[in-house]
Amino acid sequence: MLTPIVIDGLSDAALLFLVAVGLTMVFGVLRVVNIAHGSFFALGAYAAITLGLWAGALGLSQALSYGALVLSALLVAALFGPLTERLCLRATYGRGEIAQMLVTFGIFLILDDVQKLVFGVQERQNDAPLSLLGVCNLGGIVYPVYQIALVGLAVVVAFSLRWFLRGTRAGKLVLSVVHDAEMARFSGIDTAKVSVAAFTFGVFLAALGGSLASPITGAAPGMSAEATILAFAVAAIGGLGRVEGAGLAALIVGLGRAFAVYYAPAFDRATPYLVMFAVLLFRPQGLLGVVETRRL
Amino acid sequence: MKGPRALLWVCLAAAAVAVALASPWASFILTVALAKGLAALGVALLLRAGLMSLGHALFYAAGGYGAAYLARWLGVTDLLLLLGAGFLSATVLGLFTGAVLVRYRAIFFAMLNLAASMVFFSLVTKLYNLTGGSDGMPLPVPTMFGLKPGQGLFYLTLACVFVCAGGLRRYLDSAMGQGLGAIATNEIRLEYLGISVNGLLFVNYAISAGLGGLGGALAAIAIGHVTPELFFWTTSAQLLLGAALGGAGSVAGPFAGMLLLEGVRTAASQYAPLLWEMAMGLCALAVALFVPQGLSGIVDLPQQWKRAVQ
Amino acid sequence: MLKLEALRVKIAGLEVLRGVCFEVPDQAVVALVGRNGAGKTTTLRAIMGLVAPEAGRILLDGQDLAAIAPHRRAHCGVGYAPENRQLVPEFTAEDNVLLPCLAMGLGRQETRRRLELVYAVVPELAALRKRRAAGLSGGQGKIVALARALAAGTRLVLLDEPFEGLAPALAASYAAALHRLRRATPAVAMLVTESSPALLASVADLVLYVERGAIGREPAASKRS
Ligand SMILES: Nc1ncnc2c1ncn2[C@@H]1O[C@H](COP(=O)(O)OP(=O)(O)O)[C@@H](O)[C@H]1O
Ligand SMILES: [Mg+2]
Repeated sequence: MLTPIVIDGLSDAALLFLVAVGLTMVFGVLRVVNIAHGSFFALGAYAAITLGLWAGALGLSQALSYGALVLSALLVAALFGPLTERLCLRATYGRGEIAQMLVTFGIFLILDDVQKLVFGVQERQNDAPLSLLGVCNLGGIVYPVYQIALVGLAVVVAFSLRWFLRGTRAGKLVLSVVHDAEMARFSGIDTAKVSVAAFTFGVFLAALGGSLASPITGAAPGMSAEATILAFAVAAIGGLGRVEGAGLAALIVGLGRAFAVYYAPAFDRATPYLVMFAVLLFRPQGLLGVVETRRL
Repeated sequence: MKGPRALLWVCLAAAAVAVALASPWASFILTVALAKGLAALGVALLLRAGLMSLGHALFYAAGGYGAAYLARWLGVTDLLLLLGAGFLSATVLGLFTGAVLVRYRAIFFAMLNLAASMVFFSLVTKLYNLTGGSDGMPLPVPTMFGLKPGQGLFYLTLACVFVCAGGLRRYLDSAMGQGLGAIATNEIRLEYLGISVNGLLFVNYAISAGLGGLGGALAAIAIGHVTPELFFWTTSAQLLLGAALGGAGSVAGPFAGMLLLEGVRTAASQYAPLLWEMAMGLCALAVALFVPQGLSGIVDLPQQWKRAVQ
Repeated sequence: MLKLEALRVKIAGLEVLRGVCFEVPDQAVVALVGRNGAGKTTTLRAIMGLVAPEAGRILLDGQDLAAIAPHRRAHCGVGYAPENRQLVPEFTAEDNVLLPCLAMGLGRQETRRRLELVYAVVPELAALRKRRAAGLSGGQGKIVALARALAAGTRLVLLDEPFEGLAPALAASYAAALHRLRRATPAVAMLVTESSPALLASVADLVLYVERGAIGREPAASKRS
């Protein structure tokens, strides 16, 4: 009984981490709670499915659909990242949460309709990446290999991100902006440039999450809203701005949801928010969040 | 100051009545818009104290479900009783949540409210036998003292708007209401003066929850149906958008914001059914980027110019 | 080197600096002394471009700093050690010191040259090198913040209340570092704030007094020869 729960929980956690990691990173750098995050997640999913189906229709090798997963995330990031940051977000820096929330909610609403116009209102699915890898048998239950591989992929994303932030010049600059934008500025960092780059990277992560999830979840209207709220929950539980926190929170929520499905099915949907409520009540800054010290 | 504002209100009301008389369809749209305006007013009340709630839909939905349950369990169809049930259930819920949540500020307050509303959303969706699940519950055609109300619901909504707006104006002008603004600017100074900030916020939270419930109940009765979507975060975000669009600075702002939003939504769904969200999104961007004070800020612009000239 | 002309700064509607005028001569160490809330920090922050002046000018070797974006001031050779240190807790002490070099994209050789100078001036840093900034004491943090300011400040170094809260032994070694800096790089000018003039008496060429946002009387202005 335990094995399938844990496997379900882990693969759910992988998806949750992929949904949330971009949101938490963008908050860390820009201090913007990006309601439009889920829109980029959904766009990534739609783009991956569309590209994959095109590749299939053109008779190209099926293996190309894996390339399409990454390519679509890059496309979404390049198309929307710089534009959104420059035109909309920049005007809200330092203006408080309400302005940010209005702007990102506005973008969310606009992109919702863009999705419907471009991709229609039917559910879309490309299971080539899923079927290509086949299935495996774990503890007597058959899983698509892709679903198991996704856990590995999430871990790879987590560690690459860690390596990027800790081990590269760009990453170190981003981290120092995350920690203290003012200090970054007087140390010679062009924080405006870092903001565009980081937001675009955050959009990339969001879209990548969507594209990697798309073979399993498909894409349909309403996906953005669902992704945004789950990302909020996971990011807030882990501590906004904390990548490791998002990983930990995804594990807790994923496993919690899997247990709920088996033992208390009425509560499976509520699990993320119950955990979120409980954690924030006692630790408003999240599990791994640090208390901000405000300068006077 | 008093004169022009009262005149503005009278003009607005007259315009609303005129439009409503023209067609029942228009009166329905206006009823829903004003009902949502009441809930947005609750959101604006929190904004005044510097608190942003991302979960106010909880009370809006609780108002609707409260009314629906009264009808479902006791077969009540009387408009005033349904309204009372909605208002009470939201207020009681607000007293409980408020007691816990007013200790938190800024993004933490927003997130906790969001979490609370999403817990309800998820449970209401799942507990089919108790709540009708994602199908929701119907509300009966209401009666007023045993009669068919016709346009009565619209007039009742209008009356609620006037009573609430007037009462709130009084409240905001009182020492307590003035304290709210002080919380947003300098909470610590208020504590030094021996004022319990959390106590003040608690009262404020309860009032804003009650407004949400009243609005939710009115809207639910007008629509004749409640669904879990009422609890969803996008509803909260729309209420917040309405409040910000109208401007949290004045009591009329949230109503103006919601009327505009519902107007845009109605127009868009008439002429471009796939684009109403985009239209609303553009409204949100326009307000955030170009009119940070909201519509009531625009109303105040001539006064500012006058002052600038003097 | 640095010249402030009638600098006015408002914070939250209050005039915090009301016409600050003074000059840091080439190669000089200037002490800016004043009580808490006098406006010392704000003066340094204005020089770094972290608060925008209402009026007045700040000139660095005759060039108006208004035309230079805040993040470019490090590139101009101005280093700043804020009073509350502002280190990146996840970084090691050395990574914190190297941050300005990294930010400015300095070459490997130039970075090594600067780091060597920093170690020569602040030998205490060697023991802290690999420690994460999160685990440093307040005093050790001040040493690291000084080192970081030196890594950027090839022309001018701004130090905000460096001795505040330092244990006597650490304060002595901090003062010794300032003396070493004088000897190692006499061309670098310094502007150091403090709430009492005594601590800076031995380093400063010139002591200025700030009071309520303006340069006030100089009760005991001492000019060393
Ligand atoms: N962020 C701020 N908000 C409000 N007032 C401030 C702020 N920063 C500084 N001040 C005010 O500006 C004045 C000067 O502050 P500061 O430059 O920090 O003085 P010093 O460094 O000499 O102690 C003080 O009266 C302080 O109260
Ligand atoms: Mg100071």
